[in-house]
Amino acid sequence: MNAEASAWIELKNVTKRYGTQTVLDGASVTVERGQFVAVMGRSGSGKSTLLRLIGGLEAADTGVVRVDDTDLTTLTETERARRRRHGLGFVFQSFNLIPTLTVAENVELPLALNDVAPDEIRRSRGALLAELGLANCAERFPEDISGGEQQRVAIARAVIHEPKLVLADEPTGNLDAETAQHVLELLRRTCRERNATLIVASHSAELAAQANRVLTIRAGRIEDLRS
Amino acid sequence: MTGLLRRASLRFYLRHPWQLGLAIAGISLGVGVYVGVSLANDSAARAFDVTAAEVRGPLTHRLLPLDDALDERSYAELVLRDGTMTAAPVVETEVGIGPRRSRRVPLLGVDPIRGATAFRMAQVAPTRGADLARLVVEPDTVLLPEDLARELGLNVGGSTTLRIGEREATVRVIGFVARSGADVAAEPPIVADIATAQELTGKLGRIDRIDLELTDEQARELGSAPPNGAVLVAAENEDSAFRELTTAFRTNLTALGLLALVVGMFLIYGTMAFAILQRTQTLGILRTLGVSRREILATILWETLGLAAIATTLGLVLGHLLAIGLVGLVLQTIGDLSFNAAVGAVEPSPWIYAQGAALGFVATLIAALKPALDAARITPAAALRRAVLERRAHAAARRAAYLALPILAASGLILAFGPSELYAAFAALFGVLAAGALLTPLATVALMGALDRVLVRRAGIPVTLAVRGVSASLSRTGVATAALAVAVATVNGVGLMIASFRASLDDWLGTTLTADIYLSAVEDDRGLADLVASGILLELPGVEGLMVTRARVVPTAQGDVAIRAVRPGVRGYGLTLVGGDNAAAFDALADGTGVIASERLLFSSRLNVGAELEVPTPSGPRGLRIVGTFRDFNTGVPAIVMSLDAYRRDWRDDQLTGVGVDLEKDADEAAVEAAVRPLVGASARLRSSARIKELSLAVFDRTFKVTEVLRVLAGIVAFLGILSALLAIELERARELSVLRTLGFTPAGLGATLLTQTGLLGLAAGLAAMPIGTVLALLLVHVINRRSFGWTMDFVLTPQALVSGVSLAVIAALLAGIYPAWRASRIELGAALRED
Repeated sequence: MNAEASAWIELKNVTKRYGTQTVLDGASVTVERGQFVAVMGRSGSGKSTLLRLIGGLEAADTGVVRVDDTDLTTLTETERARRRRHGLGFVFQSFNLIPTLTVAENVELPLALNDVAPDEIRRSRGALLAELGLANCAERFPEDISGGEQQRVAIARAVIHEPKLVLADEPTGNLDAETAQHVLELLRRTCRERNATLIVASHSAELAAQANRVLTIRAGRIEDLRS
Repeated sequence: MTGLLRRASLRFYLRHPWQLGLAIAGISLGVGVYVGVSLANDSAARAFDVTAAEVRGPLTHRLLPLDDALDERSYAELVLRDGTMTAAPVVETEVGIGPRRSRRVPLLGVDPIRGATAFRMAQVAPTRGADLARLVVEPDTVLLPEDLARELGLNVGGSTTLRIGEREATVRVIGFVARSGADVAAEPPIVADIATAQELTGKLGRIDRIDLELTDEQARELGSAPPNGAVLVAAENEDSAFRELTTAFRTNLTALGLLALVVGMFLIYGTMAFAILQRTQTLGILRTLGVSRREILATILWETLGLAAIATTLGLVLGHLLAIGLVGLVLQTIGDLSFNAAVGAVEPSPWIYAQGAALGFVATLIAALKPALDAARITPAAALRRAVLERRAHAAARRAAYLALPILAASGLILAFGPSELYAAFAALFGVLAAGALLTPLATVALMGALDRVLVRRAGIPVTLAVRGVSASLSRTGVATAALAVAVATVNGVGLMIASFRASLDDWLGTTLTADIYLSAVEDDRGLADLVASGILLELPGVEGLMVTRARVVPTAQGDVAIRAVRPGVRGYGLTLVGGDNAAAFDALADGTGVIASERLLFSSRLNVGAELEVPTPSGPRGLRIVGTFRDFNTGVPAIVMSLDAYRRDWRDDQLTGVGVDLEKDADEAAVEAAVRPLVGASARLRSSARIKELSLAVFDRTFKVTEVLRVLAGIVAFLGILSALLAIELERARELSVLRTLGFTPAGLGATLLTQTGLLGLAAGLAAMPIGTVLALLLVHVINRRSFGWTMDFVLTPQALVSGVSLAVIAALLAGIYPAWRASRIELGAALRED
């Protein structure tokens, strides 16, 4: 089986411009299901843009972005939102928890959006919070917990609905080295246990060392550093 | 440095045009409404003053009879007493002319021997070629108004028949006459020599009044010793009651204009606060770079002045345009109340524009002062986290609520123990509004807390997000909710007041109009008295009884008083007593030992039940004991009601001015009207009580049309306040909203969540407006209107009015929320989520 035949994510000749600046210029890449992929590159090289295109947060100007046999460029915004609701988890550098929801409510948000039964939500949430060591801060608000805890909550929110794809944009950028290592391990483990594809944009060489595959973006094109 | 900072300020607004637009709209609307209302008021007041002065002409005083008419020797006595006095004797009545003598025209008898003075005083001018000598020498000659002559096809030398009371007389036209004053609304009279007029009206040796142009000294002398049977009245006093009424009406309008400005200030505060909040980080960086607090403060104040200058200019233009619309409404209202104003255009007064401009600047500076000081206090350590800001907003909401309590207490003390003037009542009213506004943010937090407890885990995450979003954005929503609550409370309060007023008026008309058909005399003659004395009316089928009235105005130390001398019909006097012992008062009224005074009279004269009102009568001054007070929504001269028999004893006057016909239960009203009409002919006007009621309520509804316009304007300002706050929230929470979209919220789902939040904000404002509006209405009904007009009315609290206030708040908030929700649902995720 060749790479294209088993591709779960496929970008073909994708171009993305912001004003006069071309961030991706005919970029192509394929990713298989269950891989842990690190995307490296200089600031402004297009790492975050690549993640947003794969996540369907933005549309490519030209080219094809296919995930799980669906061409995202043909979907409406509402259809993309529904896909994200079911099949995507996203972890941000600055956590981006909803300040008006408690830790527990932040975590259960994707399940609630997917109309999961309240009992099931309670069970899943309880188990995951315990697994990630967040049980004791379930009823607290994001502003009342530490940065490391906030990122763990973000990871829990990204995986609770068992998405097939987790995208993380500099997930350890705001954390100290020890906490960063702990968070990364947690992210890898939770994704592996759920057989989720994990794509992480980062500058971190340590993170790249743990990935199955390392991509880099140069002059708008995606290159395989290690596969 | 200052130049750079100012440039940065300018660019900020150019990059946020909607924010600039809203700030300008808020100030402009506030200034515009205030200026518009003031200009309309001022124009109406000028119209009144100009018209009243022109109608009066050179006239300063009038010598009026205490009895029916003055002895013509009074005039000779005056001239003998002071040869320099400008005086003109007048006989005046209304006559019928034309086919079937149905056209009613005033007939004025003047003394042409006095030359131009007589005509000048009477505000008429003979046309060129009119031979005034013939008017004096030849009997039964008249000058006819030009238009009337044209209408009737009469030329000089032609004859026509006049109907004066029951008599008819033929007169010859020897010239024409026109109105010389500016009172274009008044019908020009037929002018005759005074002797001819006396002959035609049967008032031989008697005159109706003497018009006078007096110096202050002459007025003092004549006032202290008038001729026998006469009283001197200053011409301007004749409109004093109306002046009071319009002043009060205009005060109400001014208060509403100021209210619009207050609501506008909320908007300015909200916009300025957000404009500064948005630049917190930039300002923090500037402080780090060494910009002093004073420079930051100066920059913000400079920017505020720039905004104020643009917006105030627009507000002045808007105010002028608004005034053009409002002046018509105000003049129509004043006209409905009692007066035909001749001036209808906006008369720009530079002082009002200056006042509006000053208000615009001062209001903007006051509203922007706190945000500017906050900006200057930003530490170099820089950007405050939103959580910190919101914690501060919650603390501020608590402090505001604590501040509301002493304001409420002060308002109560002003009402209980303060001066009984209107301005004190308005101060208390504004105190209540301010306290309501200060309490609203904390009440909103409490309401959302309660909803959160009830809904948590039940209503789903989107609703939880909406409920918590209101409290979590208190720094934005607090001011907007308070502004909306004040606007809706005003709508509620004024609405309840109008509903109460209308219900009281309706009730009063029902009580007062006891008879079914009313006849009112159009001529001062014995027509109605003779008709009643003949007994024909009572013999008509279906007629059960008659109420007869004689009305006249007499000068007293308390100002002019209208005497209504009544002999009641089968349904009583038609009075609603609001003071005095009911049974005893009616007994005293019936046996002529007491009179019942209107509450307006007692209010304006500061007399109480039990006091004596001294009135001049032909048989000398007489003290009338006030035994009760009745509710009276008439807008003319304050009145007393007395027994017709007692009146006739003292005034020796047996004429009637009104007759009320009581019908039997199953009588055919139309048939009785048809039978009565030929009996009264042209000497009396016939109206059914239903028609009078219908006309009165129509006038009432027109009177309050102008307040509806202002309520809508206040609503628009509040709407803009909410819109501004919601746009601010949307901008502030762009990242949070993008995260929700990333997690799978659809654009429509996110829009719905934001609209739910907006609706909750409206609900909070509407609920807060309920008690504020009710207290406002109570103050308007029981204090403001009492102090303005001397009227009391029953307070009617309709649940519909309160519920419609809540609906209005929710609908206004939802409408204001549509655009921000739409924008938020279309948020560009990539840009919003980009890390700093």
